[in-house]
Amino acid sequence: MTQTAWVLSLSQFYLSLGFVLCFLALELGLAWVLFGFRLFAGRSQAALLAYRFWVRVFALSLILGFAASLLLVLQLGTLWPGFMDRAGEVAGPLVGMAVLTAFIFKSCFLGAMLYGQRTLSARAHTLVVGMVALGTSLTAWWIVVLLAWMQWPVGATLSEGRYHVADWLELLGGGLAPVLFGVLLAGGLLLAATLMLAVTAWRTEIRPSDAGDRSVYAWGLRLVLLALVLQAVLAATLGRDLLPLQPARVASVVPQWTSGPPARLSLAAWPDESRQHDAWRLAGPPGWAAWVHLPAEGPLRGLNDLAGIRPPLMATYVSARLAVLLTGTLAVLAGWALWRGHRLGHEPDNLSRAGRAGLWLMAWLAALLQAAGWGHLLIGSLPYAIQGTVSLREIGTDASEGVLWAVLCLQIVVFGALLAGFYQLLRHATRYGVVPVARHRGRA
Amino acid sequence: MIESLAALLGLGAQDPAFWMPLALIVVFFAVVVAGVLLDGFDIGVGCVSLVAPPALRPRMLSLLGPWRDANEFWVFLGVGLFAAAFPYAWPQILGRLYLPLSLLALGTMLRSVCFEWRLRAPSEHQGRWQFGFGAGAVLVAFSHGYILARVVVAYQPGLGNTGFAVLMGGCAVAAYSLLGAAWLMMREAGELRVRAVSWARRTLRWGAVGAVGVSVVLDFSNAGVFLKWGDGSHWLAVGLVWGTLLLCFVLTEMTLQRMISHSYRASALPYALVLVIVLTVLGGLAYSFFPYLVLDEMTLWDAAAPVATLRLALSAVVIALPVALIFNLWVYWRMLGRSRPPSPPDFRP
Repeated sequence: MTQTAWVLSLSQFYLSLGFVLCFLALELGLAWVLFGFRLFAGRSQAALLAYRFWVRVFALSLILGFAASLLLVLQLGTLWPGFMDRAGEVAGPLVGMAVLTAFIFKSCFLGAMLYGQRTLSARAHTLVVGMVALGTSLTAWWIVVLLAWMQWPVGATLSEGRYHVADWLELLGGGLAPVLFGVLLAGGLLLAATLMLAVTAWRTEIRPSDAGDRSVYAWGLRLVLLALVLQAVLAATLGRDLLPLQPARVASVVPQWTSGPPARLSLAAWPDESRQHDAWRLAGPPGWAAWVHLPAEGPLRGLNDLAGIRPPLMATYVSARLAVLLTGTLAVLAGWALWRGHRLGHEPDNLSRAGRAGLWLMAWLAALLQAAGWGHLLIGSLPYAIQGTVSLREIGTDASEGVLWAVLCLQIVVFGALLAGFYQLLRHATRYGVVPVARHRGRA
Repeated sequence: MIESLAALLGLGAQDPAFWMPLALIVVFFAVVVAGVLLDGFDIGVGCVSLVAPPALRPRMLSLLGPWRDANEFWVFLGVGLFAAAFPYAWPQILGRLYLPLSLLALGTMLRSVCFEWRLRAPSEHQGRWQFGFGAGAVLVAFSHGYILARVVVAYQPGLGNTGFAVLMGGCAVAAYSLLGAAWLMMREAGELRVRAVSWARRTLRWGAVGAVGVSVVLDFSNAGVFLKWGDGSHWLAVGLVWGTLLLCFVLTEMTLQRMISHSYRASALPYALVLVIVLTVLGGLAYSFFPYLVLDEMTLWDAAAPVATLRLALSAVVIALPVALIFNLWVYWRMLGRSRPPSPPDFRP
């Protein structure tokens, strides 16, 4: 396949994957937050009010993630036809299980959660909400297992060009899957919490706050900080697990220009690819190689040794720094917001203009952080589909560039329209409250 | 027939490597048929909602409401099952259907999202979401026809084949519109029914072009299929299939004419006849293809995953079946006959 076709395929695939992951994370985070609200709803009116509003936002994000996932699964076959030929024995059942889990939990519990609050007892409804959160997590688990397996293929052996499963348990629970799932869950909680704060800030600007707003504001501030710390710790763990396995990623992140003993990590640098050195660099901590379990004397493969089997340098390098920088910025903002919230007595009505803008900013930064982090994970593993063995180029489609362009444009139009719609509906719900939508089985 | 097939593959009829792929392809075909039958009117109503007067559109869409949750899942179940049970067919099939499958996925996405959001949007924007639902339905219908045409000619390239695929895509839009219109005239009276009759009359002949075109091209583009139907021993089946198709099309045309000039009795008849047509065509296609997934290239046993994975897939089917039956299939029991309004909820102090 040509370079243009490769870039076009990759853009399409990452666009769908990013869309699905973003809304899956938000759905996951909101599902557990809603379960928390529902648990306390019996005792506190505030939690019930918060539940009633946020369950609608949950429904909005759920439908987006769900609808986009079909495109993602089909693109696995249409853009990378060779993938299933190599890894069908691993990926096929995982895709099937994700569909099955989503089907079972959606059929059994989701309808009862969204439309059955009046007909079910409080305890039964709480249970149903818990089951929806569990089902969402389980569905996400299968997807994360596949993504993690592509970074580090454990539990399967490669023979005659095809992967064969050796141990399902190791494949499902070993490797990077648990940590990566934690990163997704923490990211989802962060997205949910920052979105809740941003929406509350906007809601209380146009009308006086109610008990629900106050409780969301108070708990959202704590959740942001908690999720941020959790994600930072898990992402660091993921990095320590991942780096020794992927020399090309290490070389691009440091950057290590020539093979030999580990070069000193740079905090920030301008890697000049044509001259094979850093135009300027700010040196980082010296002990980093031992921290990620790299041999101190090396040899570590450098970029000069990895021509053709390494990721794009700039994107890999910058995305890692961007993720760290955003985490730091968010931590500062979240700490400030928590302190301000404490000073204001957790009353969102008292928020200043700058305070509201700060909460909005946090929501956007949290989304950007997820994009940078996941972007680093995915781009850093290029050009491989399955790390070390199967490259994306050899499994790519032979569709013509014209068709690829056309579909990419159509995809951008559809995604853009739906994102704009999501934003607009969120604003509408914030402004005028939620629209109750009834559903009657078998009657219309 | 089963024994001879098994012997041909060098496997016993009791061997899991033989019967498991067979069982799973039957389940897959059942999902496809269920998708076309149960989701078909949904796609069709979406297609015709684009040409309906704006005042009627909200009612048309709300008629679909009770089955939306269940309808969304057929395509997912089909893809999931195909991924788990026949992963090695993905390069040969999905790799060659890039364009129509992308359209299918984007159309499905539009349909799901727009339907859910249209009621939650501010009222001045609801028209846009209704349009999105209709556009998604047209994309899905077109891609179904396109996929069918590509599959039937075994993915041969060429301008003629592409033209045929585009024609079949158009015919599929017509066929789904026919199905949707026939369903609407059974569900509702009044202006909607009058309009549905006229939509059905306009799409009926293009539906016929699609049904005949796909069968004839399949017959003449592949010697094996031609021999299967035309070796003289199947004359009864051949006659029955074409007789059924002809009879159903003629009867539908007559019923529609009658609905215009005389009366609205037997308003469910067109829907039933169109369903018979769809089932006949699908059954004929399945018989022609068996045991190939890609004609003359790949049988379902070539494409099947190893037995351990198939066992997993079969147990997943066994788990999913009761859920589908209890939670999803029973909602369909009221999809026939006149629409009944929902009863108001009990007042609870």
